[in-house]
Amino acid sequence: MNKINLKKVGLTIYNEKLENGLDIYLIPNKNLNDMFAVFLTKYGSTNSEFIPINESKMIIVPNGIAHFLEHKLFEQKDGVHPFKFLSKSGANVNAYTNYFNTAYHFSGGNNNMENLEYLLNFVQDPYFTDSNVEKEKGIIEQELLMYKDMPESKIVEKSLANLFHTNPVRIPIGGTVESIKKITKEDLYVCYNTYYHPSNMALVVSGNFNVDEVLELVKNNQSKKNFKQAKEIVNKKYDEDDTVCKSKETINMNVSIPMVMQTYKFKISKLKLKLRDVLIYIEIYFKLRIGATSLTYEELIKEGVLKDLVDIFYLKTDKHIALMCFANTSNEEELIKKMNNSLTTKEVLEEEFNRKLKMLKSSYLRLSDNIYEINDKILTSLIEDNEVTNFEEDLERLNYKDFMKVVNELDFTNNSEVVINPLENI
Amino acid sequence: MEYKKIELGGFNLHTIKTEETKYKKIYIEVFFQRKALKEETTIRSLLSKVLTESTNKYNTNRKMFIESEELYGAEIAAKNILSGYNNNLIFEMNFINEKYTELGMNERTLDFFIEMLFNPNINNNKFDSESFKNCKESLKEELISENDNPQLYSVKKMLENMTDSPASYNVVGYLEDLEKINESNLYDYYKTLFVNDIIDIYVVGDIDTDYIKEYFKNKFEVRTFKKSIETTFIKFDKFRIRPKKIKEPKQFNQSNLAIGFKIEDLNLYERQYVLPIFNYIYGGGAEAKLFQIIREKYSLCYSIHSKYVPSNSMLIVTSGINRDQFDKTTKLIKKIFKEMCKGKFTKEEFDVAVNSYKSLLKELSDSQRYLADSYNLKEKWGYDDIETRINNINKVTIDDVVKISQKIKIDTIYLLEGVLDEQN
Repeated sequence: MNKINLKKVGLTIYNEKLENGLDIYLIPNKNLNDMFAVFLTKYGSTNSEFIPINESKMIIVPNGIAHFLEHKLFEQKDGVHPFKFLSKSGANVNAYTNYFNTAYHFSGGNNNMENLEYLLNFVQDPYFTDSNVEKEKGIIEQELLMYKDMPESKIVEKSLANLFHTNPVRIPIGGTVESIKKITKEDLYVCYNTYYHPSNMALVVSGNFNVDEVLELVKNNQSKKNFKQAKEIVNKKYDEDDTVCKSKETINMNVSIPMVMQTYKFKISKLKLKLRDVLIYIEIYFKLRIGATSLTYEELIKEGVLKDLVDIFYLKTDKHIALMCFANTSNEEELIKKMNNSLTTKEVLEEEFNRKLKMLKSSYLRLSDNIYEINDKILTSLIEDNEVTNFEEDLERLNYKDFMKVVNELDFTNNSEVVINPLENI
Repeated sequence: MEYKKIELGGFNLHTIKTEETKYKKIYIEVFFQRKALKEETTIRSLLSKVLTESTNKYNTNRKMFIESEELYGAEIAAKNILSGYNNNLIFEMNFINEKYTELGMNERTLDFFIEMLFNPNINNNKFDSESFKNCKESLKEELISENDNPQLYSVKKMLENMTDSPASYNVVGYLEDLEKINESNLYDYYKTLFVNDIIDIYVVGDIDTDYIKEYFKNKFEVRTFKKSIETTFIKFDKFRIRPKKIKEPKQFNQSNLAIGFKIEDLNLYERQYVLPIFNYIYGGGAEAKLFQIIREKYSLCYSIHSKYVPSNSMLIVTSGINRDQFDKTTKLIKKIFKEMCKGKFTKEEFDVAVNSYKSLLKELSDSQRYLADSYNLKEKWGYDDIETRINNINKVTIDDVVKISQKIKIDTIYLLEGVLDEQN
């Protein structure tokens, strides 16, 4: 059992890896009433080409299968839907799939231990039939149609498709109506058996519970199950170029105000710094240059180019970082011009950096006030870094000198813009 | 946890002192309440933006953000909400307790909040033009974009067809009213907030109650006594025999259905306890009948659920569907509702709903914002406190649920017909 002490927030992360490879993270907090448990697999929409367990040849599966699989795991042989079982005691249960992982979670209710056991069991007991697979296609088709009407969803999809040549983040998470029609139960079993092996999974529990009790429950539960010998999963490696595919695209949708997303593609730094630190430094830099406290933002508001903040977020692949900037504007030319000018300036005062660092440290202090944030932070670490470190020590390591090293290395030439204009403009 | 209500003349201060280690943050919520008037929703909505945009001391939005960063990430927000016949303009702030940052920060951060409310960015008895213009443009864009979200749009249109009461008012505002607002008349309205509105302040966290009392007594300069207004739920006395049906085509891929039900003569017990149980079984819970039958059995949709609006005496069902499934889906929604009225749900479904109610309250009691809101519900609407509600839900019977279904009347069916051809 490893322990990570987070003194400033009064929390300890207890970590143990079981014999079957399942990685467990427990963060007790008796100050709160509730408990939040997440059971995740490091398998997302981008794992579409791989060597199935116990085989030797690479296969390709239809797009959208990880998400389809997530839906189908809620199908149970005894006909009792997990929503029904878990909500009996008042718990809230749900799941999601994104590019790199799928997660099943519950919180609330007055039967945490039984529900935790149930969570492990329903995810580890797949039941796919030809008819239940067919039935799901109608439901997912409606879900995909819903996203088709969401410009915020569309603009991210288009941006990633234009940014990446070969990496599968260029494909929408849910696939398309055509691709999901091709999915069979055999496809689902192949993906499940390969990626839902405990050695590729983690359980993260935060909130009000007893560490020994939870650990014992999970160990007993897992020891009763047989899994094939764990082998490292072979995923296809993509030789992704540093350039973008398309530097600008304009589409029309039912929007009243045009939307713009400008994305920058950065090659993962060769600097001898932790990737986690690099990601933080890049985010800080963007916020300083075009965020709420920047002069650029103030000017753009004054000119009427912006009426609200630019949304800034990132997506990391094995070789690149995509930094995505989203805004509503009727003058995308001026917005992009000012953004690029500001970002390529690379002048940042140490006091500005220190103020952002102060903000980061304050955000950190909020971790113990609810059950979700600490859980989320651990998940992100697992998916992006494949490890969980002492967050407090990580924060102490951040400094202006390293920050400027990262900033000076940033190359903004590889970028892509997507504009969504109203339908009347066709 | 220790609750105190202190009447300070022009306003009421409610302090909720929590256990020492429970929260690192302190949370403040200020309610300005008055009777809801359609013609005032826009000006209140704009005021919520303008006051948080800049102040006399921090006279640009950028300076506000910089200061909030200096205050270890103090977060200020404002919102305008309608509940029942009332309009609440709410200002809130949360910040890290100085115990964990730097001595003197609590006072400095509270001063920032007071500055925002009492020292606005004014020149010559009107709001600063630059700030005002930014906020007005921002609100204008928000109002224009409202129709872009098909789910919200369908509910909005359904409500407009269903009732003239405040339940149908757009709390964000109206473009035609926004045009009439300027720096000067907005400032005139701002001044009336302190004179006319009923003001309640909630402070939640590991606080020194005496210090908080003295602080607000001295710095929250509102001395006008106000006659308290009755906080009332929306009441309907006319009900349709057949529901009104409206179809509107729009350029979307998916169609959206919104159905409104009016509820007759609810008492406080039913509003707090019985209606949530009915709603959970019908369409609110994860395993609700609407979900089970319309999505899982017939694969007609991805999302379908019902929600209850207790202060508005309403129930609303929404769903995203294919337009050729409108008739089938609507028939099923009505059929499932009729079966609820006949008591066609199991004891198990009932027990799940009760457990879920308790569980939700238990979860919400971890939130400082909800603690403040729950005391406000008690103060204004006569609701029971969280502990009492968790106990009293056990008194609800299956019979209560069947009885309440007799009071729920289907009123308006609105279909937003998606007519956009699918593109590759």
